[in-house]
Amino acid sequence: MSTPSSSVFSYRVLKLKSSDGEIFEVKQTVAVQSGVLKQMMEDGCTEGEIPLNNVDSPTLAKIIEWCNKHHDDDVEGRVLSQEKEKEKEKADMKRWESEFIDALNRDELYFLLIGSNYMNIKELLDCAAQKVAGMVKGKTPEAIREMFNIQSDFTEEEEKAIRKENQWAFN
Amino acid sequence: MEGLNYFNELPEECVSAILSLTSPLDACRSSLVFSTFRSAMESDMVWDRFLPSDYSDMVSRSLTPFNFSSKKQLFQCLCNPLLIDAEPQLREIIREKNLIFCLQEHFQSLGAVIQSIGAGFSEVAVLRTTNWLEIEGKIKTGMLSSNTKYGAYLVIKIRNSAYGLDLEKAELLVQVGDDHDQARTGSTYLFGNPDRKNNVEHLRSSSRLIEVDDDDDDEEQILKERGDGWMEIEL
Repeated sequence: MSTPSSSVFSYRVLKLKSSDGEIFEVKQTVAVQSGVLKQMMEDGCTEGEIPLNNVDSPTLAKIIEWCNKHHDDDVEGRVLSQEKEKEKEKADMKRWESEFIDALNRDELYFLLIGSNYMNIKELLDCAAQKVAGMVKGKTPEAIREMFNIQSDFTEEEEKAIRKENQWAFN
Repeated sequence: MEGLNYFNELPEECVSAILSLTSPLDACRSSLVFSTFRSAMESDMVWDRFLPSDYSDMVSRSLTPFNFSSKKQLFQCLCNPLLIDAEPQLREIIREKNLIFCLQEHFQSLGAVIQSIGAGFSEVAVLRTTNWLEIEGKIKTGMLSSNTKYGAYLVIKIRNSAYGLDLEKAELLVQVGDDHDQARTGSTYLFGNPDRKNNVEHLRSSSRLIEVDDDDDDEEQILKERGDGWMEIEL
């Protein structure tokens, strides 16, 4: 609390530093959705900038947008007395989530997977994984490789062994 | 960025998260994509999501012990028909000449003995002689898991000296709830040796006393060896 930058409210805000050096300020109540940041807060080591070496600034911006939308600050205080209202809120959130994910291009989706996994934000990882799962479903291994530009790292023998082990899936 | 093969570098946890949201078939198939896909596909995290929520209950009540070292293996075990221990009062009710007898209490009087042998059953009924036999089993649908395919099986063993089973087809009926229209019916010969069936049909057609019913339903159920000395038939 001795540095000049630490105002009275500084403990409420975390400073996240992306891999390309940009600083993002995030409320603690929002940051708590990240398992990693939550742990750091509990350990009391969130003073100063927190470097996130695996997350670049466009991705971190997306992640913070997600967390801002999902943190329940604005729900608190309001009493959702009616089930209907809750249902509607849920449906609205689902719609927002799918629009958020669908708007990403493949690169953004990839870095969001990496970032949400690195920061341990389970809901976001699930949501991004759901999108990729939908792309993978019903496709042959060759089609999946082509879609994601993956070069197989199996030898012919290994491929044969995998096919044999999981024969039922390849018939 | 397009053109870079960066998906190769996706961490295994991410791939597991993705595969766990596909299907068992897709997960197995995509194991051929890349090595991280393969290791992710083998992970318990993926198969945990595919297993029915009440699988531990099924495992603990199974009459045949499971051998598995991973959740994937367990899933494969559960794909095979599984005998689970029903509550005693839900076991078969045997009906003879339209009188209802409870298996354990009354079957002995019909010339049968109850023995403790084989197939994981704690008790079995041995039928000696009768001219009419109905076997009826009921279970509560509440015991079943949702989104799971079930089959009804009759598990029997036929002695070498058995006779008469090949003269008439046994009638089969599986019904869910009280809806008779939804019931699945069929008929089959309850004996295990296919050679004997041929003999009988030969006998029948040569005697011409009984019409040979060759154009039966395409999907006639037949008794199959279970591998533990017992026979089973899917109803």
